[in-house]
Amino acid sequence: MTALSPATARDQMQRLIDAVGQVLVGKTHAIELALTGLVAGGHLLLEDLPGVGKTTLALALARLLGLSYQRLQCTSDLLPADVIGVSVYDRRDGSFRFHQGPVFTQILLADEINRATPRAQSALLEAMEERQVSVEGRTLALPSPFFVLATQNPLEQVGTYPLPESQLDRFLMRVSLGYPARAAERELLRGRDRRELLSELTPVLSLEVLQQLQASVATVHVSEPWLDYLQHLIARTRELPTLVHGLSPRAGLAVQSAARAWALLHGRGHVVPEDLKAVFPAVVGHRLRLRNDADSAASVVAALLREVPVP
Amino acid sequence: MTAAAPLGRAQLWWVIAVVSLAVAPHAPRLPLALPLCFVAFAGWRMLGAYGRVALPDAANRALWWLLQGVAVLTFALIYDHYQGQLGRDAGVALLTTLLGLKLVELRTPRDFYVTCLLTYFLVATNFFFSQAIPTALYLLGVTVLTTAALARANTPPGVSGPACGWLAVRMVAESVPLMIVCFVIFPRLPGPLWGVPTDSSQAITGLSDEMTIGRIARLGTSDEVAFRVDFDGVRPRARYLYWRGPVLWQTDGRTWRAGPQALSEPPPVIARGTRYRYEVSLEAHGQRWLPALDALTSTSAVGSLGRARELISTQLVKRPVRYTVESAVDYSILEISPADRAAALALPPGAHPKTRALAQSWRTRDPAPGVLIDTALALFAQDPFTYTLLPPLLKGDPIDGFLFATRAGFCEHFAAAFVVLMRAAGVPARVVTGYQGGEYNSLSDYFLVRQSDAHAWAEVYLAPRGWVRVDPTAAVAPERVSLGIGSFTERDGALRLLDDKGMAMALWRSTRQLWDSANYQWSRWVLGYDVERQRGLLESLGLQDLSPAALAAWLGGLMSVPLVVLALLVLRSPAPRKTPAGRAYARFCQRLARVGLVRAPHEGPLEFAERIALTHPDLALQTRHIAQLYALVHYGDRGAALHGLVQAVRDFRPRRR
Repeated sequence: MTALSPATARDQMQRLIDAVGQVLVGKTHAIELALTGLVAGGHLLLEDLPGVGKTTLALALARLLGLSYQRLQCTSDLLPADVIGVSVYDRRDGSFRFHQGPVFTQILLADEINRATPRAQSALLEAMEERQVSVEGRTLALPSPFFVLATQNPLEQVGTYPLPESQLDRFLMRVSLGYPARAAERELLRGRDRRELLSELTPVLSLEVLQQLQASVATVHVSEPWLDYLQHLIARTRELPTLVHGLSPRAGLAVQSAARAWALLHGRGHVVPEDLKAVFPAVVGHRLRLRNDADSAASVVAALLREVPVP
Repeated sequence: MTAAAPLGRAQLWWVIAVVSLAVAPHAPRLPLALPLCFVAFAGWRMLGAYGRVALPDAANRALWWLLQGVAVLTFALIYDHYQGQLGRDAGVALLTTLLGLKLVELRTPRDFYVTCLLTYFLVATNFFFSQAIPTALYLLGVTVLTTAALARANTPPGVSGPACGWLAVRMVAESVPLMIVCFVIFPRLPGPLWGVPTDSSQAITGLSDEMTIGRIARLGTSDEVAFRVDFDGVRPRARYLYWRGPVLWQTDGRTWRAGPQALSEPPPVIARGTRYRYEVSLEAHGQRWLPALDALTSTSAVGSLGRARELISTQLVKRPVRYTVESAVDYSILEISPADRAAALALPPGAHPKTRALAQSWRTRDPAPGVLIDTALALFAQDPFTYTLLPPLLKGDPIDGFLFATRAGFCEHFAAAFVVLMRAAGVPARVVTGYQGGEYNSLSDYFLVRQSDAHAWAEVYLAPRGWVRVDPTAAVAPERVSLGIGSFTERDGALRLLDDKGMAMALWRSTRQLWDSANYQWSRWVLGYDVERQRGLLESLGLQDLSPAALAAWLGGLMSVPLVVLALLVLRSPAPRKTPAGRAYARFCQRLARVGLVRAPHEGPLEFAERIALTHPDLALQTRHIAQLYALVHYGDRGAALHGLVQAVRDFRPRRR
């Protein structure tokens, strides 16, 4: 797979962002982060209230990329077989045939993932990590690209199973969409039906270009001063008294690949500290455990970024 | 300094709490109005913080003037109360008042820090008044809390109160080694600081140079420490523990006095058997006598020997003293000068007629001194004589009244009566006061002698044997001597309750021993660490004859070495050398800083450029260009762009608008 030049990569990604922006108004930063996650090959956790556009975002991405799309509504009676698939006896053949579950798709929207039981959650999350599933002794590869957009409602709701930290770590980023701005909401209210708009979307990026973009991420140059900066930040999380524990090396790798994708999105062949700062809150926010519930991860991360000097 | 955020209520509570804790021990020492003022000031500030009352500030001129008035009034009060003498007490009063006034004015974080630092100083002033262990522990606690208040103000809001407390404990604990170095090496001043009188010169109890009937009884109920004795090696048995104090020769019939000291040398002592070497740590008593085990065989630099071989200090004992002497319990003092013999036989004319008549009758029966002593002791051992710490009042001639009427008393009654009997019968005799016994502390291996161990006994001169100790109290109440005074005070007093419960008593005893042991070590090693001890310690470390200036140099040296090492470590580790691009960018930032555009350390080059572009559109083009070139060279490893960057920075001349 040949890598694209930074400028081409930026233009391609920008086209996609503009197209999504037609449907999901006023959420450029969230769309950019989502695309960054997709290009960096990670999965996305959308944490927000119902009705702010999570599904719209997932659908728009699937349609604009021409990818297959499945939606998995997580409930407390969801079983692993409902995710992965099930073998059914075929009377004609006299044998069992495997019926693929919703996980066999390119873009999977796992809605309200924290409503599923830990058993169903782990089946999904393992598939996310391995990009393959094992059924009855056979290993079936998942399609490529495989991009999961999981949503969850804020935790203080009844009947949910919060994802444990080890599972949260599987998500490259956690993004909140939030309420739209006043003008954006007005446009939404005046505009046409979202479903109608979505159905009209046509692919703007081919699968090949997406794979080229993913391949380009690895070519983005990472300099020594930039790595110093990343390491200082990570080291600081490990000594902050407000945190139960600091960031893992895996978190460092995640920040690096997200920052590379972000640099690409902005047409740079190298990462600058600003790239790191742009993706840092989304990448590490869900990986930090606060000692005091009264603080928010966002404020701690913001304070951290204000504290560590840029080399 | 920029306008800082006002102090939060939590910080106010912290600072008012620590200042109050530091002021609290001073409160009873100050004129009553000052602590009340302090409480009023603190209350004013706190109510102000909750918006209940107005605070004096620029907006409220009237209140501001009121505060000035109150300040002047309190200063006048201090001046009046201390008669204009600016000493320790007035200084503390002034500091307390100023801190109280400062509380009303607490507004900015700077006020908060200043007040906390002054609190440390106020904590230290408490040591002018007391250096006891509880004081030190209390003030250590206040120090930790003050540090916690500072930590609280300097940590992000997420850190909890207990976490700040722990941080403070850790910081104070980490400063302990430095404290020890300072304590050991800091030049000691001979004598107390600035002539500050020590606590112990006030409210002194103890034996005096005279004995009036009734005096030792008062001591007998006092639990205060008289002195402690640490024997070097073997210690004598309990029945030999007679601690010689003032020896009383003269009497006017009621009061006994030491009388003038002879100019001649004291009589020599012939010692047999073990010589006991021991260190006495004497509490201040304001007199001159120094207790020593009978009989002294050596002398000490702190005092000289009196005419009855008692140790007398060269100056009044107004501070605790420590001295090492040697004694032997098996001894003879054979010599008696004619003047001493005359003094040891003198009785006031006309006093004690009945006693004299009794002694005369004994003498006519058998004039041998040994027989006379036995007769007197046998008299005391007879039934009507009882030992009690609460004797009936003696009317008229005290000796006659005691021997023939009341027949109840304690050591000084028996000793005085016995000496009068001996003198009347022609045997030279004198009263010796001092202490008998002592409580052995097995934890730290020393004897504790309390004021309640005060005792009086007699010495008679027998021709071949010399001066011989006779303890008439032992004849009437042998357990006073063998068990100590405790057996009597406890029977009489409140401790009887514990006496019934052996376990409780033992527990009480061992707790008391533990506490006294701690006090002893504290006064020995901390309070008693004076010029001599310091010199001794430093000599053992190989530092002889250091002047205070040299000591200060050592102290500075010892403290600066770790600091220099630390500084080198800090300077060496991060801060890598700047690249050419880094230098160019630093110059660029410098030029912007000169026109008031300062890059925050956490700002990346592109961010910084965007910020400038937003506020200074005229600079936007250049700054964005330079930032992109720098990012390219610094983060993109494009060395080719360096030339352009250097050139662009050279041409960059922002002007202040």
